[in-house]
Amino acid sequence: MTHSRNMAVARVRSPNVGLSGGTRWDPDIVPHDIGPSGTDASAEFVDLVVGTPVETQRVHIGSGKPPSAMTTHSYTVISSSAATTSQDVLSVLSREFGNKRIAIAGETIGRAWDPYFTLHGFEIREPQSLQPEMQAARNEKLNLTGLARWVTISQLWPSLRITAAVFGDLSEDLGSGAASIRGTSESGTRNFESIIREIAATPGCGPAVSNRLRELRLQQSEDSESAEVSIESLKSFVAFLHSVRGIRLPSLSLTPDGNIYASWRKYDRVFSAEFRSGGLATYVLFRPALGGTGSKLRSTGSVPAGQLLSIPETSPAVWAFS
Amino acid sequence: MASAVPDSGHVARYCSPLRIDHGELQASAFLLRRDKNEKVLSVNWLEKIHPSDRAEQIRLLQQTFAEKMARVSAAAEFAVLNVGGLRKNVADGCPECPLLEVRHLPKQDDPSHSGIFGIERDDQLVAELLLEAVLNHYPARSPRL
Repeated sequence: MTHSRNMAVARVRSPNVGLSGGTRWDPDIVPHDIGPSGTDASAEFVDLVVGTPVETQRVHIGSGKPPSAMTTHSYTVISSSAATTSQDVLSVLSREFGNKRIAIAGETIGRAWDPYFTLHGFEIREPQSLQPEMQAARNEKLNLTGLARWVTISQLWPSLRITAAVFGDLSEDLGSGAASIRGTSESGTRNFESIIREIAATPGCGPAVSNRLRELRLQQSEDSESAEVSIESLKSFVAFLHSVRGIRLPSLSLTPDGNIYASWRKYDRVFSAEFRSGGLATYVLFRPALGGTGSKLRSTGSVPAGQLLSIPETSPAVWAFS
Repeated sequence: MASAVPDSGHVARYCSPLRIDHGELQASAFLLRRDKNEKVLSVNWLEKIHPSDRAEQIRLLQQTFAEKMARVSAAAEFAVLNVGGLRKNVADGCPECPLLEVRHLPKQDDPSHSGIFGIERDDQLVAELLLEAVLNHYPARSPRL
């Protein structure tokens, strides 16, 4: 078998998708027909093994897509399991990349994207709308590599580290701008259930949160005067959940606009956040003033959802963690 | 010009189950619907329904909502607030916010309908402050309806 010149081969294992201990990467099953006409010629490919590759099934993606000025990273899934879904792969990627850092666009060949269909392939790419900012970031920060969190990935595929690092930097440098781009790049590719499944897989309060959100959606469907659960708000909420560890289960409700509203209360302290579109969250924090005067300090603000509890202004709400 | 509801009066806010978590009212019950450009938070003036009997006020309000809404959920509630109390709590908690006003805005199918004005700015903060001012809450649907 001859590998494409641009191809890089690697393996990402997922304990969540049924890999057995005997699973072995076999270079002979690496697809050999990636990169023909219609595929971005500059793309580099990496195989992501999900499931047990007893029988190899792969379909390349990217067909018909115009070559992008940005590098397009395509993954091909090799799987014998019909139960392997795009959600499984997203789960792998979420762990590997920190889901909020990258845009994931998915497609199956000949089908609309649906998390419940067996996944044939998907790609990770930088959203088109980010191009000017990405270029500016590159111009200003030539050394975008070296982030420890990407070491694992970089061992697999060095070029991917650069992309991921750029997104990481942009999240910090562009603030809400980066967050809004995430929303744009994923729009239309994810539905309520796929997001809920992702939340359910979040360690800690994830399962309880997902149950509550399902309950809210059911209640909403019976309430003709309320707006549907906002997918954009859910995405912001997911970005928040991925940014924190050990957060206590909040009270969850829906705003009249269909946004997720989370509240943590402890004695006379309140920390509430509304998760809005564009990756943003607005918060309200009530806490007693120091010195036992009996007065309260109240603050409000708007931040990228992934930074909700990591900015100085909200640090007094540390009690929201268990 | 809509008449002002006096500070001594009480208002009830209908709270959908979507704004209640495990029986606990949430501040989202006091948020405006931005996508419909709402500027006034709908409430009902209880003394307009009955001068003093709270049980009767709630019973008749349940009846009004049963008639005007397609369906009132068994888990929905009315949150009751004192007008002077809610205005003071918001003024104290948000000195830069405009002073709230509560005005009687009767409708044909809802004669006690009223509105809280002045919420748009800092609506989330005001919603949390209104939640703090809730005195009590009652089922929005009568078990008999």
